[in-house]
Amino acid sequence: MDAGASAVPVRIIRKFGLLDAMILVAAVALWSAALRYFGPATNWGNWVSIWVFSGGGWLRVLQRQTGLLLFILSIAMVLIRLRSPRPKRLRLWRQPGVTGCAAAIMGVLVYAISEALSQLTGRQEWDRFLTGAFWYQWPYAGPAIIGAWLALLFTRRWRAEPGSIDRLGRLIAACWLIEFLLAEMPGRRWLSILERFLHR
Amino acid sequence: MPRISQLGRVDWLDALILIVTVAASGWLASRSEADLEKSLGLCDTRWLADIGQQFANKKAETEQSAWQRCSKFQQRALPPFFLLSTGLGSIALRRPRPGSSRSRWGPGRVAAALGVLLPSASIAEEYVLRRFNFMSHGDYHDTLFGAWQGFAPSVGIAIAAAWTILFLLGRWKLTRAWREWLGLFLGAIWIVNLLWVTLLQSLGN
Repeated sequence: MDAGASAVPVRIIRKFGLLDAMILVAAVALWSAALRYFGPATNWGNWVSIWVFSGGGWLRVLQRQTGLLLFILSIAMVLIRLRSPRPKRLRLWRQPGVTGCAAAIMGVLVYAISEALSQLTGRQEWDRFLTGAFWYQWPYAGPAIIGAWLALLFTRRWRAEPGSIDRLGRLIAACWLIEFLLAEMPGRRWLSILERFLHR
Repeated sequence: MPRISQLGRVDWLDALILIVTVAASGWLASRSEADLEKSLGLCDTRWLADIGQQFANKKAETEQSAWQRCSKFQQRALPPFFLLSTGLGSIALRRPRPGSSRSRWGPGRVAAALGVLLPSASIAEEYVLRRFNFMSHGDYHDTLFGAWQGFAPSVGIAIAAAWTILFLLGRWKLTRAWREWLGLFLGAIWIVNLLWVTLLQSLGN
């Protein structure tokens, strides 16, 4: 046996399996259930409503509903990545997919804590906290991903895995960034501007 | 005791950037929103400021607590701090000596980079939107200072996420250079602002 070849560490890339697909399906099902919960409270719940809006109004509906979907998918993505066989801790955090999704979850949770505190001090209802934290706005998810990805790039630790799992994570994080650029810059102005142009 | 060569030295370009940044920030701090909009040719948001003022007057009738005074200070200090952050961050990002080898990306340098990139992107965005009057579109518009106040927590959360990743990667290694500590100081201020907006302000109210 060649001693030199055995010394080279073997990198195991786990393929996207059936259980991973089931986790994703469960995430989408959870999102559908959440839509049923948030929908009646905000009059934005039904996908059919997208076609009701004239001009670019559907963009706003899409933004609100995909924000929640992205949050649930980010959690699912981290769960999928943490299933064994998984890379070692240091290798794990070098992967932009899981790093982006974990940063997005961190951003959403920080905003949720902030909302919870303001609801608690304002003595408002629990429903309003859930709607405020997980429905209308996602202001911190995008910047958290920017910070995490730039930290990987600056320190030259960006190691994208060629498999589907990391690619899915990168796709979710990229969607978060588009969502942030369109909608969550102060005042949702670019979304408004796009809506106006689509309406013409 | 660290030697001077380990700490790095301040050169004339650092001093020049510092003087320009402090002067520009001082000028910004001494101006009202209306002055700035007029002098830079930006669209007028005084009507929004008037609504805010009415609200502030109603609040002023009640007793002013320490929390409210802190909140006012934060609102006033943020716009010049955006400029200060870009200037001081640029100093922190510079290499210690011209021609020196690639610098380490420690937590201070990463925070400085984010403290330059995000605030300067925000300043550029505000300028484009207000100079070319995109503000007539859509809703949820803010005053000039209000927009920066809304964006500031984003810088804090980006730095917090970057530091968390550095920690998880085992790259949280501080150097003794003053530029590293300047970056750390900038990052800490952005994170304190984030904590203020997300936690302390709600508790204070």
